[in-house]
Amino acid sequence: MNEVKLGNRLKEARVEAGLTQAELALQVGVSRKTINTVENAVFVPSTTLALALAKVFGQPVEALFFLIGADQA
Amino acid sequence: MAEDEILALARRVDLRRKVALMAVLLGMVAVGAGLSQFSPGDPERFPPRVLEAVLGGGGLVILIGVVTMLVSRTPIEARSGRIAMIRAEGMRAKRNVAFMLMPLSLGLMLMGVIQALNRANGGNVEHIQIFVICAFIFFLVTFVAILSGRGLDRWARPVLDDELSRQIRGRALGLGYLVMALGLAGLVASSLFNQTLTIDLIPVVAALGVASASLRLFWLERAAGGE
Repeated sequence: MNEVKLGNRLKEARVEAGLTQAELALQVGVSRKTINTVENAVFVPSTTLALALAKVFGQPVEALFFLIGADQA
Repeated sequence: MAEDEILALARRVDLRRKVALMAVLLGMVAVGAGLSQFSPGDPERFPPRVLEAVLGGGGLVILIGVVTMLVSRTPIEARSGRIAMIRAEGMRAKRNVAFMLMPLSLGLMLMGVIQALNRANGGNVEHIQIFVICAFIFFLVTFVAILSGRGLDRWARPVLDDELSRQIRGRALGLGYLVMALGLAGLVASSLFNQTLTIDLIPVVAALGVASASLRLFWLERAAGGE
């Protein structure tokens, strides 16, 4: 089975909403570093954080996060 | 009150609390030196007057430090929202410097600890040796507590104890555990051949375990910040 990775459109959504990393971090109750690492796909967020981020942008979770390589899995 | 004023006030309170904490630690050193005089084995003792002065002075400094810390309350506006986040991010940077310096301080202490272990060598234990060993143990335990994220203020937790921090901490402590387990295995093997050397190496293994965890934590924190 190929390795499945988590991709995201968090940065695009954040910039579109006119938020800085720190402002978004404050809204979801995590550190700026956490937002930074999620955006860079270094850190895979928990379901709770993913839902919280989706709620801030008023989008479903699937609009922010998606699987890379899921077709081959 | 404006945000800048609240931040400035919070920083002044933080500084006062930090000075008080340093006073408490210095007082503990003095009291520790005094208490080590009661351990048996060493006929050389502080004169009673000096002992009373050390214990009394140290106790007084601890008391003043604790009272100062208790009365120095951070303004409530600085314990939530944006200001709390700014303060916690600042604290995170300082903690990261501390993680980098932990191995250095343990390394400096190691020389004294090994010397104390060698000089005792199963014979009469001098007060200074007890003091040095106790100080080393205190530092080790304190460093492990800091690395484990113990004692964080509630307002700082969203930044210093969020899910990324916990994952980074877990990875760093995992490395420390591995280093310590391998070191202990080595100590068991070395005890078959040279017990004196094995005893000397115990603090080295303990320090290596803590130092590897702190350096890993420092490195992972830096990498997460994209610095």
